[in-house]
Amino acid sequence: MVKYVIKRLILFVIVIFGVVTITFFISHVIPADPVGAILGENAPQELVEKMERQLGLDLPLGQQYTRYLKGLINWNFGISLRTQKQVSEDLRVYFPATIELALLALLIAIIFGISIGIISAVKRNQWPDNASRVFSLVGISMPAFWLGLLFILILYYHLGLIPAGGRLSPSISSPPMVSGLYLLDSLIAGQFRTFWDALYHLLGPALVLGWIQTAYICRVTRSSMLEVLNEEYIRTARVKGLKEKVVIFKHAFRNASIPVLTMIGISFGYMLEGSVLTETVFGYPGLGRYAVNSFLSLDLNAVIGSVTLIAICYALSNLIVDLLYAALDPRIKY
Amino acid sequence: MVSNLAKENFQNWIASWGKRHSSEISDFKETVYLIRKSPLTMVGLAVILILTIMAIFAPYIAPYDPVTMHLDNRLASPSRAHLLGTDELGRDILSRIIYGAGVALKIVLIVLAIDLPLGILLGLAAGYFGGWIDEIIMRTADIFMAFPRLILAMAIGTALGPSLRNTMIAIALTMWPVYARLARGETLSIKERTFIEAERALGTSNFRILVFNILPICISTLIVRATLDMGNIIRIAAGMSFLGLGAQPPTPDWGLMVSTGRNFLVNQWWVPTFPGFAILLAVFGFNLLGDGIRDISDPHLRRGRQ
Amino acid sequence: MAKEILLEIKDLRVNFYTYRGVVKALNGVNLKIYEGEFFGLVGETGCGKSVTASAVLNLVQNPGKIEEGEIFFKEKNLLKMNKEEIREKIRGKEITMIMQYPIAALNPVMNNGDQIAEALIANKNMNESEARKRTIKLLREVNIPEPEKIARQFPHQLSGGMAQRVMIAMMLSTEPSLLIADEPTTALDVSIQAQVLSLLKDLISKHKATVLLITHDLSVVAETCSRVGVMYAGDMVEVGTVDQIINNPQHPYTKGLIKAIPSDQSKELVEIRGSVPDLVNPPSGCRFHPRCDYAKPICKKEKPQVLQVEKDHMTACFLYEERHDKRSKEEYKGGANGRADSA
Repeated sequence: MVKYVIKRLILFVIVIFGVVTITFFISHVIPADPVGAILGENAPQELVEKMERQLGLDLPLGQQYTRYLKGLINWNFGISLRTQKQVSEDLRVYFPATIELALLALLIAIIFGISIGIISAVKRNQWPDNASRVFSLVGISMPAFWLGLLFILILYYHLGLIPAGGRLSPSISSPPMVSGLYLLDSLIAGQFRTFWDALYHLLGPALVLGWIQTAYICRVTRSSMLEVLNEEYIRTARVKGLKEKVVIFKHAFRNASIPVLTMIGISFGYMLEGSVLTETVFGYPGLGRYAVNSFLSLDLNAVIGSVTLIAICYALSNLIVDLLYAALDPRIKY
Repeated sequence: MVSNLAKENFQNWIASWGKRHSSEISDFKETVYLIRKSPLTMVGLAVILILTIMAIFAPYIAPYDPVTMHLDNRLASPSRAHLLGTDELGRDILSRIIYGAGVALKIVLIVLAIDLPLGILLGLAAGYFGGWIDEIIMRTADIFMAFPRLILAMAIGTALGPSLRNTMIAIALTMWPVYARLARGETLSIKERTFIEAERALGTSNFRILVFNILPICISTLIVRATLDMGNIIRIAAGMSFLGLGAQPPTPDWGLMVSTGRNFLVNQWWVPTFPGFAILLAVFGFNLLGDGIRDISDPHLRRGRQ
Repeated sequence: MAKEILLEIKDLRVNFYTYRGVVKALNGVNLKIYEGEFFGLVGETGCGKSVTASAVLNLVQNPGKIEEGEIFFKEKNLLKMNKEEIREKIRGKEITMIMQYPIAALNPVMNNGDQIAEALIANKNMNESEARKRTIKLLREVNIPEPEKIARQFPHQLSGGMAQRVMIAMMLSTEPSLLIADEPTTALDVSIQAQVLSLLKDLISKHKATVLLITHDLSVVAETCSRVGVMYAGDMVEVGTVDQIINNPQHPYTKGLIKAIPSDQSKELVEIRGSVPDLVNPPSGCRFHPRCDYAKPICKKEKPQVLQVEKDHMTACFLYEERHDKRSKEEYKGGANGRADSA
């Protein structure tokens, strides 16, 4: 087991290194003309050259790479051309927003996904099962941005149930910074109005993200439970005269939960991805929207910063999932 | 005229072909039976069929031309003349959706045309030869898989320049690791089976073993996986177009239509809603089909029948 | 001398509703098991022996359904009891079952000791520490070395034989009246088979339980059982003591099974011609008639009734009926149409 953990950690380091290199390759080698995109086609030559020096584009590739790596280790990505602030500053502001959104969506997805999945498996082929299967299939087919638009149309414009955007209403100021998660920080500071306001703003995007993840988790729970319910040891449990609830939760779900936990971890990764579209549609100031804006404005430093951060989080969550899986299943000998 | 002898020979050949391949034929019959038995899979199949018809026969089915602007008829609400209304440039939305089917299917086909061969090649090599070839290929795959798909696609798409073609390349680059891994897994499990040992004992060359024994099994596994991924490809491509990184105007791409229509969400809700609904239906259809095929090819299900 | 009837199955019919059609798995099975005996149920794979066992515990799996019949256990009709009653009073307490693949029958994420203790806690109202102590004692009884260590281990760490012993410990822990053993040694090595069987025999006599042993292997039955029932394609074709069945078999199928046992004298392997029928469209009349060397026209038309051969020995076969019954020979040859068709 220890061997496996070490192997996995080494893999993680290699992967991070590879991610960093690929990001460099994508952002420095491939792009057509970042300077031109920023300054326009007809900028004076000296301005172009000045910009090139500032971006370090005049140096040979190898030196660019080392400069890039050095900056990375110090968590310094340079200045965002769009916000004129340090990229790492921007990240520190926007990253917790996305984490908060992802966690809330994950909570929704776990609660609903697992319960619907279990009910679906236990009542196989009866109407709750069929309804949930259609629902979850629709859920994973749903384009997040479209669902978001629908939510905005109906819940905002017609019903006024969710706010226009942002993390807080203009009149409310952010709670004192502890974790960067407004829900948590406002509770710690005892600012309940802030808490509800933050929740109110999270509702739209969290429901959209959560809906889609519920579908994934529900499907995995259902299929995992179905497989387990067919196993011989479930029969043994019934022969022992155990109550059905005990059979389903203590015997079936405990075995079925391993793939479900894996899915939850993967879900978290999907949400990092989904946040891109959801935040853009809802105008929620998180890492996803920041990344999109950096891409669209060819803000190189910001692109590198946000992609690196997202990739690290993603790789980290995959690592945790793998380690968790190995820890939970006693059959696994690595 | 064809001589009687030739006709007889031909008939005999057909009969013997039937006998020689009787197990494949009964397999096929069973597959068709299972497909017909599963209503959801049939629905998925129907959706795909409709999309394909829309894609191929768009010029004959669509009531209007998808790109011609009619600025005097902008943002018209759904009516008998325009069943789904018109967009901000006066173009009929229904027609654009019909043409959009072709765009969507084209994306799926091209992405898979790149990824399936690439994945098989790399996977076979990694699995069969092992050693450092395996390590390099798999670590590279791991690194690509360390990025969330959309982010990587966006990054590559931005770097290459926003266009439909670059979107397809970008998506293909994000998905090949899955197929390579799958092919490698199949190769590894087959490689160790006794019948391969037997082949080697007979002196069959590596190439022949790969192509005739391992390749067919890899292909069928990967195709099942591909049908599961088709829906996702459309969804990611739509997301890219929505963000402006994919298809460019005036291409009738569904994601692009939602994006440009977004400004009119409040008062002319049909402009972004119908194209989005088309995306949903297409992805849903592919997912139904993919699910169905996966269930059918599941050996558990087949073994369970007496 | 009169022994009590512990389990009586009357005219049990079970159908499975599958994609391919309705599988008529049990076609009116009759069975009597007396207290304290070791009853063997023999038949080919697919003949319905396991379904019969499942029906007793009301654990017939989907898409199966018990259509008709009665199952009397200690004179109560199990099929008329509601599910909760069966779960509460019968399963685990009065009737238990051990199965063919012991490692698969154990929960992979629970350790062995906990699984046995669970049965005790649920059925004997013990608390945890009592159950744990009893578990160790039970493991010792089934000859498992180092019981404390094994109790802490997980099922995948056990060999097949050990796992089956754990199952036996689990299923005998609550001192049931009836233990059903569904092919308990089929998946084990031959040498382990003998060990497990003799262990089972010892424990049964110690705990004064009754056993219904299901197997396809006649030799296992010959070694361990007192009475035997032979099943074919959902029908009980012959029942008797081991001695009667082996030395005086009446049904052609039973005769075929006995002939098929390889011995030192035989040079060839004798088989019963033909193969197991499709139970969606079972043969008419006596289900064995397509494979029977002695089949008569009536065998195709009617299902033979159960007749007594000697004390405790029954069979359902027109061959026997013809020889010993009052019906005219004509009835066995022609039929209402007087056609003399052969099988």
